[in-house]
Amino acid sequence: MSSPALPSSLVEKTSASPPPSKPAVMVDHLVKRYGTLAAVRDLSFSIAPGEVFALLGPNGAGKTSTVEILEGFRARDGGQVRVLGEDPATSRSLRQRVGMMPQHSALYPHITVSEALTLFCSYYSRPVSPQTLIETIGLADHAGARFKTLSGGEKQRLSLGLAMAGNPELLFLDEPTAAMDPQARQITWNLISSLRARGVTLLLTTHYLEEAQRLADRVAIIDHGLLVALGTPADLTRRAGGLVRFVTSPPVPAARFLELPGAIAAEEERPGVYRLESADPDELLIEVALWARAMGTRVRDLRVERATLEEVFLQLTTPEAVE
Amino acid sequence: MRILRLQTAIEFRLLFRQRETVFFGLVLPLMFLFFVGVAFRSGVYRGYTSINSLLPPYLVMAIMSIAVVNLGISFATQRATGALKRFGGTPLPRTTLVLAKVLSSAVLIAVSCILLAVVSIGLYGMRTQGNPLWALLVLVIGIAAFAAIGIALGGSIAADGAAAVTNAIYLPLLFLGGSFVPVSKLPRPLADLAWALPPAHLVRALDTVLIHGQSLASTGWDLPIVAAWGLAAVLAASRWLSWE
Repeated sequence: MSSPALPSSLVEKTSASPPPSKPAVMVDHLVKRYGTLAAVRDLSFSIAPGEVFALLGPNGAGKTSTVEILEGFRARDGGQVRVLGEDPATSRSLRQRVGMMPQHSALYPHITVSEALTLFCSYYSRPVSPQTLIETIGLADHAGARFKTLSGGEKQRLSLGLAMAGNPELLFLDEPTAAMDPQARQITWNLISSLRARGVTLLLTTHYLEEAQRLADRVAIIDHGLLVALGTPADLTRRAGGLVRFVTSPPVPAARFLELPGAIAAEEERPGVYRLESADPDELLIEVALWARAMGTRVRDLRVERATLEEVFLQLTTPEAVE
Repeated sequence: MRILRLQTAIEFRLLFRQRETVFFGLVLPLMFLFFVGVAFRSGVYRGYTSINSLLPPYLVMAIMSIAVVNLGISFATQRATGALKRFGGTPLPRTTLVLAKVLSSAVLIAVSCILLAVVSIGLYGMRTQGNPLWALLVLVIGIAAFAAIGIALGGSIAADGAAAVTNAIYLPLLFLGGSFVPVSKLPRPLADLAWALPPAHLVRALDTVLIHGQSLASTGWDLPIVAAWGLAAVLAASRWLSWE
């Protein structure tokens, strides 16, 4: 069953393999331990300049440890990392080129939005203007508001603004839309899209699979400090297989469909309504069509249903321990 | 330099937005000075000291309130909430951040000292004499030493016990620094303890140059002892200071 390579699958395959140009971020056999607990075990990936890369995983998978090593906040116990060609553990000049939005946005409770933006912009050699920044993050109405009076979503947006203050080439966003309402999340997504359009490289961690699917060029799923999947969202969902659904009249015994090449399971949901599982549902769809033509059976509503990234995620990761 | 100035200006503005800081740094030393001054006039302290010598202990109280208690608690809290880490992700050098906190505290202490001087001179007719530059130098050494102690504490203790720990240090230091009873009138073992710690020495140095108008040299070992405590705190901070 060799199928001709479709252009679209080729494109996805290339972008799923390691990027060819000098990477913006390189993680090579990274190890991080806390006492006897190995938070990151032999993790490797790289991010191309201008790429939006999402790190997914359940709580305790090692996402934040990895990001904090790349940010220079934590020392690694093994392996190599390079950020814009430099070692974040030793380079101070990297701080000028990299923006960071930590997981829990914290600031002085009594500082105002505009004071914080002005202050952070003053740290950089080629900053964004605080005025532009406050409008970009949609907090111009809150310029004089103190940090502690902001809502969770507003704090996160300010935090993102502070991360953007220095016109960074690379941004680390650790759960950028946690605690945001849908509207604030939309604003943040638009911001991330416009950063990508400007060629900024982004590494984001998230719990929201919809977010990764929507924003990321590539997704790495990690679990217990190990890489379990890496690829474009489309690539990952395709690898997880999918379903072929259709209706026949008259009904046919479901077991007949197990004879079709590539069908793993077959179920008759109602008389004449079928659901077949396959690792390659596109190929199976063709088989169903050929079978129907050969048998002279009328088939309607023939379609492929893909796994969502969420299903892939659940398949690949172990459920979080109940605490 | 520009960054240090801006950071200091904002840190200073923020000090005034915290009621605790304003109360413990500006109001409380004034309250003490007022009550003890009233008591002095009624004769309670007669024979202990001159009314002029009431000022130095409260200058030192303002220094300790702001540089040890406030700086220590706020540093510990900012560490715990992740606010300091946020600055750690920017090009702002950590030394600049600490320096801005110390400088903004120093400016607030200056405000507090001016208020204390105005009240003690205006209300109680106290007299100061001697070279004000020497007094300023003594104050600067004292502020630097106590700010180092505040940073060393705030950089190593847990945030949820920070108020208890800093006050457990501050209140005995107040007593042993002469804010309630002149150190010269303390009984032997307490007096020995007092002279081993920095506040009594700072109070005596201020009394020597500001109230008695004597030279800096006549403060003897007072300033080196205060400076030694500050240096010890700097060493402790460089060893144990944590940013998160």
